[in-house]
Amino acid sequence: MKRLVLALLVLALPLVALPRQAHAHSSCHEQSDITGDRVCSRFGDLWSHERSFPLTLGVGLTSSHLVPAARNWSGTLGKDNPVRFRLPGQALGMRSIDDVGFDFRMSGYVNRTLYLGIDWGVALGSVHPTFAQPAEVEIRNKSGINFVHAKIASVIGARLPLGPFSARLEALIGLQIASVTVEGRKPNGEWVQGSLNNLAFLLEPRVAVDLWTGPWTTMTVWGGGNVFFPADRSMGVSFALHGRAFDGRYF
Amino acid sequence: MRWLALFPLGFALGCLPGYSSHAVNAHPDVDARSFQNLGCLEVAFGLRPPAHDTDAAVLITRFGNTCLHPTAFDLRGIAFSGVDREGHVLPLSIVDPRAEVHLLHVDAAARGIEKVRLRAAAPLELTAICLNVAGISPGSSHPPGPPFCFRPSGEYWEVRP
Repeated sequence: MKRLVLALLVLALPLVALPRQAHAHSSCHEQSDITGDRVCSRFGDLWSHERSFPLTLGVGLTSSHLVPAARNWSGTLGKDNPVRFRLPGQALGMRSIDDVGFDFRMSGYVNRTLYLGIDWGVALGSVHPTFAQPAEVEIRNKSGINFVHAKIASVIGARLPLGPFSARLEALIGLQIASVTVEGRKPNGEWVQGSLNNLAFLLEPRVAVDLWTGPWTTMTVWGGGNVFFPADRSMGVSFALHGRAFDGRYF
Repeated sequence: MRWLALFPLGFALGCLPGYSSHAVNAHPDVDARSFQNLGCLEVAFGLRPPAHDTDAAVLITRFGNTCLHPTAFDLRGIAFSGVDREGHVLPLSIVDPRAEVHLLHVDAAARGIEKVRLRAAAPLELTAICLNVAGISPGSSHPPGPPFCFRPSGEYWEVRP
């Protein structure tokens, strides 16, 4: 659970930091709305192509399909003197895990086509594993929302403008954490809460199609796979705010 | 967390629409008779009393880009002139202490407002301030309208022949 909280904190950090930066910027007190007398902004800051930043901020809904058998899981039971063990993926007795969650993105164009960014997300699920018991401990399923899947990745991609649509091809390079909450009996007979965790590299190619809902807003559908776990899939719908109209190119 | 739900909904509906043609005229701080259509660029002007004693007036410029690509906008491309009580015509210039007013491009579908100070070589009481906007959108194939003049009308300036 501690790892989960830590992962959530890392994921939430940029959300906390952004408003603070914005607040710091707004500490400038404008003296006038007339060019030359203004102190906080320059001529053209709010409307010019040259002085806009090709940044994109996005938030979306995601759904992932993971194959637990392809992963090796490390287990922990209890907080004081935790019992640690390893579990092969097949021991979860599940063909797949599906989750639903949110993802967030900040990216920027380095030229008219290529963009770089950072993407982070967290998804939750409810799984019902039928464990093949490890030798060290006895574990059982914990009911409710018992699966957390978090990703943090850098993004590199290219965009092809197609008028009201854009086609994008991109790759996410980073880390993903999958965690299943379980209950387990320690050697002393005590039942405690624990988790099965898998930390893995992420190399996820994605295909995305944007629809411009306004000059600075898009709705996107995307789908992707995972090079390291070829049976994994993910898809989502996201909504983004763009700093430059049509990202600088409509066609 | 409520904003998080409104965020996608608003975006899906296009909560940040682009500039629509003639929208610059909807604002009372510009005179609709000064409206100019220069192809992609639409622009309208207003004058208000100066903020500094040494200035002639404050020029309010509202503009919008009706196209899906950036379009040139250069306030320095406007020829400003003032007419004094004796009918002498003298040039006016933009007061730009930070040298920030120069050719820029209005982003696709964007709108903007800029206010600049106009000053004559010597402080004079002016009876008209005239604008020739031929050079405001370099590269535009659309011919600009003829020069026009603002004349004082009580506390305000309005476009009159």
